[in-house]
Amino acid sequence: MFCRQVKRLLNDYVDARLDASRKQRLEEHFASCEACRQLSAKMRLLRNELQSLPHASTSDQFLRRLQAELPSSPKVGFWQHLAESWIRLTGVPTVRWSAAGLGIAVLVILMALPHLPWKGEREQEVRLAQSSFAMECVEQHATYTNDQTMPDTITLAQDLKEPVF
Amino acid sequence: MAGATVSTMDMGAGVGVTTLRSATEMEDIDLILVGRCKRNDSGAFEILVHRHKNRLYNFVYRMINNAEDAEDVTQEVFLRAFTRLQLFRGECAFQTWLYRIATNLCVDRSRKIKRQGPPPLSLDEPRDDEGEGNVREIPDERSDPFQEFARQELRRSVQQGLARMSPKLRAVVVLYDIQGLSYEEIAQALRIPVGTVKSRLFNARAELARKLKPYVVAAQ
Ligand SMILES: [Zn+2]
Repeated sequence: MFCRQVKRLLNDYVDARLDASRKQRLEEHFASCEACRQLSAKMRLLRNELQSLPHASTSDQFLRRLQAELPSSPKVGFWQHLAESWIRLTGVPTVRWSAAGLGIAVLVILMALPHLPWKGEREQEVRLAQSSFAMECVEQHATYTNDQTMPDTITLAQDLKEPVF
Repeated sequence: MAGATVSTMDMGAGVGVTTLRSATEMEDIDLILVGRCKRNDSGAFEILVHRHKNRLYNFVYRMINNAEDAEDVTQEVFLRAFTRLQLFRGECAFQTWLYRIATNLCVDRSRKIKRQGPPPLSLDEPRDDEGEGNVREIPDERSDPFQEFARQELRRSVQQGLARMSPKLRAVVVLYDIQGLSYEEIAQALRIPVGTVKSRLFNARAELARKLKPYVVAAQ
């Protein structure tokens, strides 16, 4: 067995999920390879340590704080989704200046939205989306104007294959 | 909310009862509660929070390594979950969905911090139900002092290694080794293939393992 093959099996070995024959072949390799034996011993120790770390709990005020923050009804999903998709889309560094300009334009349009003849629940929905979107536009704009070295805001999210919400 | 308290008991969120239930049963109960939330039953969301807050907080705490900020981020996770609940269609477990939101928030946060400069390395122990975190720090008089030193060095090294690891690797090792999720659950939470979960887990573990000093390994 080569070191490269051993490494592919190490996760299962330290999690004690290898079948007897593979386990034996791995241990035969360890007998002749100091590097793999060391790595395996360290990984096993590490795994045990991670599993024995004390579990943290929220403070006593957690629920009370959350209740105070919760909106009355979970209905802004669509609008927030739309707003955030837009923010993510325009987070590309090469279009950051046009994005900032476009952001302000959309902000102005959104400000005008409540004056359109919409009533009731729909109007409330728009206002909710508008306020959170407005905040994000302002935040985004601040980032563009202050931070000339805009970091790659989307690379990591892409690594995580982008959230859908 | 008195109604919510009663429902909490019905739904088996009491600590003793919860541990007896199977994972599938837990997921079924979550789905029922999510359905109630979508029908504007605010008490149901409170029960969901009660059921998941400590697990989620522990994940966030291990991801960002700061007890106070972890509480703020966990609050944000639930706020987002609440406002986007209509988008949750049950294609994965509710808990997995919460982990997805939490991971995204933690990754966003480390990106912001990276932008602001290197973070102050805080290794404060988390709040603990039984105050176990503090008790563990007191050396046992019967144990070998060197072994005790090595044990503390092990914990310090692991926590420091986690704090310095890239968030995408950290998320996988925390979800697997600390939170106890399966490869499949992690794949769903992070929207990556199972093969990627396995390779990231290996890379994360190897990165942490290589930082362990030989005397720490020898003393165990
Ligand atoms: Zn080898």
